[in-house]
Amino acid sequence: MADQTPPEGPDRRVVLGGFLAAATLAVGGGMAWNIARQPSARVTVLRHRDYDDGLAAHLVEGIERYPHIIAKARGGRVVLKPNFVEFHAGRPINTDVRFVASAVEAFRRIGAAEVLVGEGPGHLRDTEYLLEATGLDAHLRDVGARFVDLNVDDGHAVVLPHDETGFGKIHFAKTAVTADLLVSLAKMKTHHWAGATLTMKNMFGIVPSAIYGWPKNPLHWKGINQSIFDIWDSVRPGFGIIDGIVAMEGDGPIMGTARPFGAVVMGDNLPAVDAHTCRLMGLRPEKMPYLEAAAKAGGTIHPWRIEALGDAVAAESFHILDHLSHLRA
Amino acid sequence: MPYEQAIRWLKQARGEEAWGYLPGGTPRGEPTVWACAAGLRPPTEWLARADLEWAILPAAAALSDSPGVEALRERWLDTLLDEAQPSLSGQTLDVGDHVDGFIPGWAWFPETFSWVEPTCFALISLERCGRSDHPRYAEGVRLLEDRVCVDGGWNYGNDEVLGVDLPSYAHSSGWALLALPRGHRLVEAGLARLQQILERPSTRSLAVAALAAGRHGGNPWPFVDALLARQAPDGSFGMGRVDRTALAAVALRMASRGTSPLTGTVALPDRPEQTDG
Repeated sequence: MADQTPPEGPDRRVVLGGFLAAATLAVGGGMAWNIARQPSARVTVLRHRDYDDGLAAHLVEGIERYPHIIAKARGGRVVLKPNFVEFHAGRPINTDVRFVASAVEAFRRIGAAEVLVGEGPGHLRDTEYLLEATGLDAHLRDVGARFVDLNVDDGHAVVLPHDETGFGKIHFAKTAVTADLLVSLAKMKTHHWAGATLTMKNMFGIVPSAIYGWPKNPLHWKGINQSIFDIWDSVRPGFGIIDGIVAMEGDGPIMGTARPFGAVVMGDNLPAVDAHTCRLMGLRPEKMPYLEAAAKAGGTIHPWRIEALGDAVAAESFHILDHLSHLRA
Repeated sequence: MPYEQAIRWLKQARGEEAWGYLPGGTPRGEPTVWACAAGLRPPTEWLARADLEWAILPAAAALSDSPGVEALRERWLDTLLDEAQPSLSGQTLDVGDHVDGFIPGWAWFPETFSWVEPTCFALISLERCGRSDHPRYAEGVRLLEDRVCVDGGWNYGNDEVLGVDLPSYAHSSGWALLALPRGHRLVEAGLARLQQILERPSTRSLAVAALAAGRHGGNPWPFVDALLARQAPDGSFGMGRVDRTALAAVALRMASRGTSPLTGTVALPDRPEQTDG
């Protein structure tokens, strides 16, 4: 298992402050500085109300707003990482299988040499069951794409630049972290512990359960917010796309209810994509510790630093559990 | 001969040292111990030096009838009973009123919480290797009793979260039944729950269900027949995966020979007459 040198980044103490002393930093000049140091980001929202045949073309239209992503994908190996967790008939727990197939088609049209779909389901160990029950297996066969079970993939150790979890390094699925372009293909869902599970939380699935167990228990044991941050911070997936056509609200990520929202959100700065999506859900991203930490480590969450592209889609108020009421906008 | 076909495929899938999840892949604990349970010769040198990770929990059971590995088995059993940290003895935690987080079971990863499946693996190893009189065995059974879902089966984790009952899953339920002592009060309802597997089958769930039914005197044949229907022409199961093919072979071994390392010797009911078409 190879080690990867951590990328240059802010000092660990800067990020730690996000978890420990957010309030004290959010005053006066400190606040302005924190906003100004967030790089500007562009998030695209596409109005799309159904999982129809036109979705792939619409996705291409959105991705084309990011020429450097097109350059990475063209001729390269693209790994799409959807969110597949469990299967309950009628519950929008997972990235819709038609959405996944459309994304495969979109990246092929852009010119990717190979498009793989990789996931390491966090809950169900029986990936074969999950693929068949959700229909993902059949849809990938239809579009001729290969599925890689990231739970049993070879490990590729990456040193954690800020190490909020204390792991020092994490063995990620090699297929995911060695891709020319890793795309988080998330589902728009509330989450009963983290507030929302979007492109950053979706990256739990690149941690192989054959090493870390189910449901990636060490990540929860070390702290869900710290783990979300460390995984994003160390891997920095190139692109994120959120399936918000039919979202989930309430007791997500599993036992919530369907909420038709009719939109796709995408961008190359995952914290910005997640923060913008939170606002569309009626949530306050700055109250989510992992997003606040990301904002101090090169991510963007402040609305002043996010340029919204695409269609005008109004924010709604997603139902969340009472103990998360502090996240309501 | 489906069992022999699966064994031939597994032999070809073996890497230089042991088995990986995919043919010829990096050797890993889980596929290797299931391949041994299927009846293949254990790669003893590799097993002696490799980090089997959580697969150390079922290893003693999987190799319980393999000759020449007695010392390894004892080492694995001692390890799974070792309370010193870091170990796979599950950490206890106050997780609310509904689930008793203070029952010690076993974990997937050192120094984390106890979960259903690793606890099942440890219980099967202790029982198959004559250590079921150890106090940890009774505690593990108590954990399974605590986590049973309202529908009679087992979820991979808790039976409820934030006041909401969770459904059971076929695969976890099969392992829990395989681990429970014969005659346990939860077996009957659990076996009934296993029938759901036939609606949405998978290689692993069918294999474990067949083993669980065989162990408890139930009818494994519907699961065995559904399993056979999934065998690829090359003898493999489950999209060419070693771990799935090996578990299927363990079930077929029990079905054809009336014994397996995960169940011991079982008394199977007569197989219904097969009809053409």
